[in-house]
Amino acid sequence: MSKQKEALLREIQELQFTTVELQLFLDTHPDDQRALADYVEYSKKLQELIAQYSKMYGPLIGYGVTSEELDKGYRWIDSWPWEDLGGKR
Amino acid sequence: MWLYQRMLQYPVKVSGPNPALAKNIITQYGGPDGELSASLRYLTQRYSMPLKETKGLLTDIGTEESEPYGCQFL
Repeated sequence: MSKQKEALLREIQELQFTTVELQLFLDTHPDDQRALADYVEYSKKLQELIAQYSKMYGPLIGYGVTSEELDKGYRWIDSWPWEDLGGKR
Repeated sequence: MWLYQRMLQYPVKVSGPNPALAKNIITQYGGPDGELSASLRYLTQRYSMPLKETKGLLTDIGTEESEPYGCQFL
């Protein structure tokens, strides 16, 4: 996995962690405007990066959820990101 | 149905085989007190929660607990 691909994936992982935590907080604090603003901001950033990653390296989610990769054809069996990190199988 | 994400929650690089550690990890995943049974308990109990806040919380925690499998229930 290229350094660039790994860095982009890492950034997506960080944003997913952030949005999961914010969503859990908002479940019990639905009126917290600061948390809601953070959630919206990080969610938008996350969606941008997922679209960017999908376009460059193939889908992160199948079943029609991300479509940016489809003009490149059938690529989702080519690589499984958790097998591409340089570790042994 | 469930959706899986083609990525891990946290980057993992396996440096070599380790059966003792593997046994521990698989117990944490699928054992009686593991992530799988915990996530299914949360997702089942959400239906009997009287408040919308706790219903939402159990749904999201149950979803998050199933993350080690790379999936989000849909």
